[in-house]
Formats: sequence, C-alpha cells, structure tokens
Amino acid sequence: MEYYLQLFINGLVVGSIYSLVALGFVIIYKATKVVNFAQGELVMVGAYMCFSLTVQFHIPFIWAFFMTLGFSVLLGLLIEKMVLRPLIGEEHISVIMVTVGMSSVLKSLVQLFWGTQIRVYPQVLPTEPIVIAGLPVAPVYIAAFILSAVLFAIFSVFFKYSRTGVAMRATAFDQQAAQSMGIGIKNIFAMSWCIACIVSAVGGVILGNINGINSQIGHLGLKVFPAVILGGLDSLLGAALGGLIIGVLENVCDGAARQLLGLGGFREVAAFIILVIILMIKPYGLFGTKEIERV
Amino acid sequence: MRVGKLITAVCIMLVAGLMLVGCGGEEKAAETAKDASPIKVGGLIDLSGPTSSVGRPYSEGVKAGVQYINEQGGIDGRQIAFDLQDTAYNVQQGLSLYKKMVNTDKVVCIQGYGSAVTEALIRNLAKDKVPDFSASYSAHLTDPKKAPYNFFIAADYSTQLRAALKYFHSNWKEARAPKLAFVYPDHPYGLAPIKGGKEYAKELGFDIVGEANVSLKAIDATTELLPLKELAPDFCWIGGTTPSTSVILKSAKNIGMTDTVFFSNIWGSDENLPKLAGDDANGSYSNQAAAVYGQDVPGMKVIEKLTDGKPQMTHFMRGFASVLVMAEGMKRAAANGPITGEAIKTSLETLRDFDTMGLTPLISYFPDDHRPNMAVFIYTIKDGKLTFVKEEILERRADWLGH
Amino acid sequence: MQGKCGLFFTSYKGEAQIFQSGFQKVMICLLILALCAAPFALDIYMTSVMNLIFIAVIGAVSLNLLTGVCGQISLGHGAFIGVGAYAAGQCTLNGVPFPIAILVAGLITAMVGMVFGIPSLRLKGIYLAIATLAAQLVLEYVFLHGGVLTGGSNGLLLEPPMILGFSFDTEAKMYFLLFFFAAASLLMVSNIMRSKYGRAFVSIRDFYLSAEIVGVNLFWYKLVAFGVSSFLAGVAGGLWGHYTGYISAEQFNIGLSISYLAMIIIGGLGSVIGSVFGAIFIVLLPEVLNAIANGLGAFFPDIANSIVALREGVFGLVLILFLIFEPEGLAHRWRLVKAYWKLYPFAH
Repeated sequence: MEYYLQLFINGLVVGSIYSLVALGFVIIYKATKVVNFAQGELVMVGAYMCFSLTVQFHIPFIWAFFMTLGFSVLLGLLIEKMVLRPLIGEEHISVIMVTVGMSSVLKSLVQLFWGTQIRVYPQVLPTEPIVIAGLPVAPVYIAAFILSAVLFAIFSVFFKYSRTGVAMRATAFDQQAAQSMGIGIKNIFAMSWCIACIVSAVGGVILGNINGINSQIGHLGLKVFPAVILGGLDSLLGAALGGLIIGVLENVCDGAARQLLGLGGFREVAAFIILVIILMIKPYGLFGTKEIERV
Repeated sequence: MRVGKLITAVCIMLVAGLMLVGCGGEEKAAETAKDASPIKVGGLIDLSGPTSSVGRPYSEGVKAGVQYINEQGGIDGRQIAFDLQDTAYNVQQGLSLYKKMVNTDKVVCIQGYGSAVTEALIRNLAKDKVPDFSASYSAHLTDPKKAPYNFFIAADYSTQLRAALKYFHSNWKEARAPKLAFVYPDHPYGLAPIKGGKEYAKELGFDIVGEANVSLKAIDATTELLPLKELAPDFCWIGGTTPSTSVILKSAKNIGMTDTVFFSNIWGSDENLPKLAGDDANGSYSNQAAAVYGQDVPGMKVIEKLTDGKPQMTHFMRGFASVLVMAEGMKRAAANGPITGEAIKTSLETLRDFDTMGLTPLISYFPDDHRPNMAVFIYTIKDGKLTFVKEEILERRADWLGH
Repeated sequence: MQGKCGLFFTSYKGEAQIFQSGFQKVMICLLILALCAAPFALDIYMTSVMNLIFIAVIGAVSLNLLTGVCGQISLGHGAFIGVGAYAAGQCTLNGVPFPIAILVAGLITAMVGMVFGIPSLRLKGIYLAIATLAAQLVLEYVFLHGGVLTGGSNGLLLEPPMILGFSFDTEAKMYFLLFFFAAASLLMVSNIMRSKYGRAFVSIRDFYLSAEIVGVNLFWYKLVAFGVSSFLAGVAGGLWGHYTGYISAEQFNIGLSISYLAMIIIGGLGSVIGSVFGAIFIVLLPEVLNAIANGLGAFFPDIANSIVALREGVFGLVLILFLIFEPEGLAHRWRLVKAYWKLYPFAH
C-alpha cells in the first residue's frame, strides 16, 4: 500500500510538469481554437534560450530568465503573424498540420544553432531531496508544482476578471461577435501566443533543470494530449488537474500492469488508453465546455 | 495570381532539375583495377535525430580516421573517398541512400551506425556484397549465417554484459551470492542482451532479484526503482543511453540506493554522464570499447595531433578505430587483387589480434564468427572523469555466438 | 467539369467516366507506356526511388480517401501500414502465397482500422485526430511487445515476394509489381469516389448534419471509410515489408503518419491525382535536398553540416508554405495549369 502511495506522490510530482506544458496548450486553444502540436518544441526553445543566455553569455540566472521571457514574447508574436494569421478560418486539418510543420522547423533550428549534443543546465535549485511521506522528492519537482499552481492562479484570475482575459474568451467563443463588439482579434491572438510561449519557457527551464536539454525533449508535447483531453481543451483548471491526474494514473497503471500482467513499459501507452476511454465517455473532458450543435 | 505563377515556375524548375539529376546518373564508376583512383566508402550515420548527440562525435571520428589513412598514403597508393550522409534515424532514408551509394556511386564498403538502418540493410548488404561497419553492436549481427557482411569493432552488447558480470563476480569477496538487478528500456536496444546476460549470471552464481523498465526518454525513474530498492541488489545493470542512465543514477541516489553498484552499457555512459548526473555518477561503472581522450595508448598521439588537442568523446575513438580496421581489411584485399566488397570481407575474416594502435581491444574475425573480440574495457567514473579499470576478456564460446 | 467547349454527354455512363475526352485517354496510355519502359532506361537507384513512390502513392491515396474525401482526420496511418506489414509478413513466413498474404493483410488491417474508427461515432475534428493519435501509439506498443507475432524488439525478416515460383528480387521486377498495385489502388479509390459511397463520404465531410437528415447513416459510412482506407494501408504495408525485407516497430512511428498527412495536404485533399503529386513530392524531397547539399558541399564544405540539420526543418517549412500559399495543394495548381493551356490565349 505504501508503494501505491509513493506512486501517487511521484505521479503528482511528475504530473506537475505535464500541467505546466498543458497550461500553455490550453491558453492557446482557449483564445484561438488552435490545437498546438508544437507545444513541446516551444518548451524546448524556451529551455535552449535560457541555457544559451546563462551558459554561453554568462548572464546571471535571474536576468537570463527574464530575458528568456522577453524572447518568448517575440517568438510568440512572430509565430502568430507569420504562420497562424494566414490560416484564420481554414479547416482543422490545415491548422493542425501547420503546427506540426512548425514543430519540425523549430526542432531543426535548435539543432542548427545549438548542435545536437546534450547540454547540461545550470543548477539553480538545491539538489538535496525533500522527503514527503517517505518518498524523497527533488526540489525541482516541488518548484514545478508550485509554479504550475501559481501560473494557474494568475491566469484564472486573468481570464475571469481582467478586460483582456474576458476579451480572449469572447474571441474564442465567437470571433465575429467579438469583432462586432470592438475587440481587435489580431491583438488577442498575438497576446495568447505570447502568453503561451512565456508559460512554455518557464516549463522549459524547469525541464532543463531536471535532466539537461537536448533536441528531443519536445516529445513531451505529445504526452500533454491526454492531460488536456481529460481536463477539457479549453479549461485551465482542467489542464492543471489533468496533468496531475495523468501523472498519477500513468504511475499506477504502470505499476499495476507490471504486477498483474507482467507487461513492461506500459506507462508510455497507459495515458493514451485512458485518453481513448475518456474520449468515449466524456469527449469534452472533466471541465471543458460542451459544444452544442444547432441544426 | 503572382504567387501562383511563382509556384508554377518553381515547380517547373524543380521538375527540370530533377530530370537533370536523373540524367546525371549515367556516369560510370571508377575502375577498381590497379590504378590511383580513389576507393569509395559510404557513410550512413545519424547526424540529426534522436541519436545524433552521439552520432556526430562518431562521424567526426570516422572522418578523422579516413583523413589519417589518406595522410599515410592511403591503401596501396589509393586515397579513400568518403561520402558521409545523414540517415536521421529514418529507415526509408537509410535504404534510399544505401541504394544510391551502392548502385550509382559504387562504394565498396560502408561505415554504418544505428540499429534501425543496419538491421534493414542486412539482406541488401549480403546481396550486393558490400561490408558494413556498424556502431550497432547487436549480437545477431555477429553470426555470418544471418548477417554475412556485417562487422563492428566493439564486442556485442551481450558479450559486454557477460564480461562485466564476470568482472564483478571475480571481485566479489563475500560468501553469499551477489544480488543482481536489470534496468533497461523497453526498446530493441535495451532488450537485446538481457536474455544472454541472465543465463550467464545464473551460470556464474548471481542471484537475480529483479528488473525494471525505464524508458529512454524518461525524466524520472523513482517509481521504477522503488521496488528494486526493497530488494537491495548489490549490482544493477543499466541498459539505456546517457540521458536515461543519468536519470536512473539521480533517482537511485534520491531514494537512497547507495549500496548498489550500477554498471551501464556502452552507450549509457560517456563524457556527458558526469556532467548530467553530477556527483551521482561517481562510483558507477560502464562498458567501453575504446580509449578515452588523453589516455596513454599509442593511437592517442595520432588523435591528439589530428584534433589539435581538443578533447573528443569516446565515440570519436571508436569511429576512428572502425576506419583503421576497415583500412586493414582493404590493405589485405589489395594484396590479393582488386579491392571489391567481397575481397574486403574475406580479408577481414583473416584478421587475428589486429591492434588498432591500442585504442580498442585486439580484433579478430573468423569466417564463421564475426565477433571482433570477447573483451571489454571496464571504466568507472571517479571525480567526474571516466577512469580505466580493467580489460576483461572472456573465452570465445561458440554457444554464445549470435545472442 | 472543366472540359473543352463542345464536350457533352449523351449517357450517364459517359459522364461518369474517369477519363472523359479522347485526349485524356491517349495521354494516360502514353503515361502507362512510359512508366512500363522506365526501368529499362533508369538506373537501379532511380528505379528504387520509383518503387518508394509507388508504395507512397498507395498509402497516400488511402489516407486521402479517409481524410480528404470523408473528412475524418487520422493520425494513425503509419500504425495501420505497420499492421499490414506485420500481417503480410506473418502470412508469408507461414507459407501463405504472396497475393493471398497481401489480401489477408489488407483485411486484417481493415478490421483493425474499423475498431479504431469506432470513436468516430462520437468524436469529430480535433478529438478524432487525438483518438487516432492514441491508436498510433497503442499499436506501436503492440508491435514492440507482440512477442512471436511481431518478432518483438527484433523485428521480422521477410523474403522478397514470390508469385507462382517467380521471385521479385530485383528493383526492376518489384517495379512492375508495385506499379500494378499502385495503379489498382488508384483505380479503386477513383471508382469509390464516383459511386454512392463516395458521394456519401463527401456529404459527411461537408455537411454531416444535412447528410444525416437526408438519410446517410453516418456511423456506417464512417466505418466503411476507415475500413477501406485501412485495407489499402494494409496492402501498402505488406508491399513495403516485402520490398525492404525487414520490418521493425520503429519504422511505423508518428513520423510516418505525419509524412503521409503532409503528402495529402501538399498534394491536395480529396483528389486522387493530388495523392500522386503529394507522394512524389514527399518522396523526392529528401533526394533533392541531398543533391543540393552535395552540390553545394563541393563549393562550400561547411554548409554540408548545416544543411543536414535543416532537412527536417525544410520539410516543416515546405509544409507551412504550402498551407499558407497553396492550401488546396498541387492538384489545384495542376488544374490551373491545365486550364491555362486548354484555354490559351483566352482567359476563360
């Protein structure tokens, strides 16, 4: 039993990384209804930018962090203007494929500028593990958990109470009505991409602290899909909780599969099998808004 | 409309360009008779993609090896013309490049790399009679009945595991049987040596207490290692690559598995491991098949000169040695007639205890056994550096061939 | 139908023809003759590229049927091709003759495809895409852990195809076999598109609510789309497995699904000729890039390193550029070019 409790805590801890990435994903979907297959690569670019500033230019970490956020804003603006704006109004598959194309471009740009070798990240957090319920947890994971909670709180407040946040929700709901109310949707799109890039950069810095960076860490973007589907594509709370739940479920399923069925490596697919089951029962996730079709 | 015209024009130019490229395929290959024309060697190495972090240093080593051989006068007066292409971990790409190299460029030998492409090429290599030096050390590539034209210069993964087991067992001082656990990814590379390793471990008298699966892409291994911690193994095999080995070592240290000695596969530990895992890497062992930069072996002087004293990863040394072995095969083939793929293969099978300037253990190939040697360099990480411990040599047992 | 002035039909059969004017019929015969003569004129490498194009055409046209004509986004095509490869491989390894093995592979893949098409009952658009992504990953796991059935981590080694004792072990012989299958699959999809099923698929894609009102059973037709598309994917997989001689779980990953999606997007969603163009484009893209890199490498040796890193980026960039500037793909461009020549010097 203690084993499963430890699995649970470890799941929460790893799941907070998924939550961080999922937050960025949901922010984009919430404002623009675009499913971003390049989310993992945005995380990777954020991690590499911070690495570059800290290690190659020897800027103190705090300043490098804020400069990374600045660069992320620029990246978000660039992506929105060059790639997404021409595709406003196109069908789903085109938008999906354009984000897929973007992920390839980002991956190869990173390889071009920073090479293919594994890079070691500057360790900014203490390395002594903190013990929770008998399970040692590295501080970087605690930081991830706290950061995703803080970011979730900030953005929930932003989307609910601030003018811009409400404008973003309105744009996502009905672009034409929003435009007729005087909301400049191009600015809204740009802002949502910038915010998502910022959140991804934070996630990237955390990820880099865990095990260094290489050009393949973008695959985390695929892992995020079960989390956002479980939570609901347009729900921030869903993203935060979904990441945690998927982290826990992955661990539990993996442990159960090994003990009961003797299957190894089940955790890679466990999340996706859960995904399919959720999709069949509750397609809009736990907290997503139901799409009502009017004939 | 302007954009449309532009696209139309581009498409027409592409098609025209393609036709030109296609027509260019009529050039005939250089004669391989006794003359000074270059010997064509093809390189199919992952320079981009998931394994490129080790593929790049490996390819640099291969290029340096070719440069060295050419500077020494080449083979029988002929220079090696090395054409390096990127397979990007994509089998279709690798196959296509291979077909171009063998049919259009008429290469006589290939320096290969990863298991995905190497496995796909086994049949083609045998049919086209072109030997391939891969960096994939799978055991079944050593059986000439299955893979007659495949060679590699490091002991295969299963032999490496067995050699490490023998080393630890011979140094085991206590009366009880040592406890052993296996940690490996759910991937062909990780699964390959496990069966052979378990059999030999039982033969030596290890007590196999458990195993765990840690993916190559994992960022945390705590949950997989917790059950193993309860079983308290004395030794634990890690069959991953450097990033996953680092994750395992760090997680193990976190949960307090400090009495376990971890030992990893050849790709699981290199100069990056101490950087990634920090102090947690100290005390771990690994199998290597090539010297570390700066080590005191005759070949190191040559490499230091070629690289202007810039440190290289151990994969560089392995790529370099791979070319040295290939060149020896070509030299012996040249002594008997024209250098063709088949001639190179037959000459390679006459190598007995060939010395790659001390960079790797001695290499011998036999017509019925393509295992280069039964030796492995055991290294440990001390103070953040790869430190040589011992060269462990096993006997060349026939029942171990191919798995 | 953009036919020439004066082309009109006096029977339904005439209107439903695939090649409607005499000129088209002559051109297609010439094309077939040229393709049949090609292996004797091209060297082995170019023939092998043509073989890869034929296999890609079968895969692309099947995905186009599902995604382009019926509107069901599928990210699992690579895995379905893998199912076909393994099924065909297991059949031939157990002594089943090659043509039957291909048929069986197609049928097994069709069944698997229909199972994974069941979510389409409740899911649309992006949710269906994600469900098929799950299918891709689950099937990849099954390939790796299939034990004896899939050879697990070692993969399967296959023999070249053999029909009635005649072994297709050279590129030129495989060329004709693959040409036959590619032509057959193109014909099959064209015929489906001009039949009742094809019209139902198009109605589901465009106005599914109206289609349901009119009496099209959405679930049944979607399942059929998944089934037929997977059947052809299985055939493509079986051919691929026997052509390369070795199949492993790593070959049928998400990258393969994405490259097939890229093929139909670049070629043109919903058109058969678009699938052909897309397949040719995507298969030739790495070859062209290599040629350019080698050519430039002769002048600027350092560029070679950078170009290597860029190959994947160029793929992504090409995809993005096509989506921005030519969203309807090469098929649309082809139609415009044809119209221009047909109506020269008049604009209409």
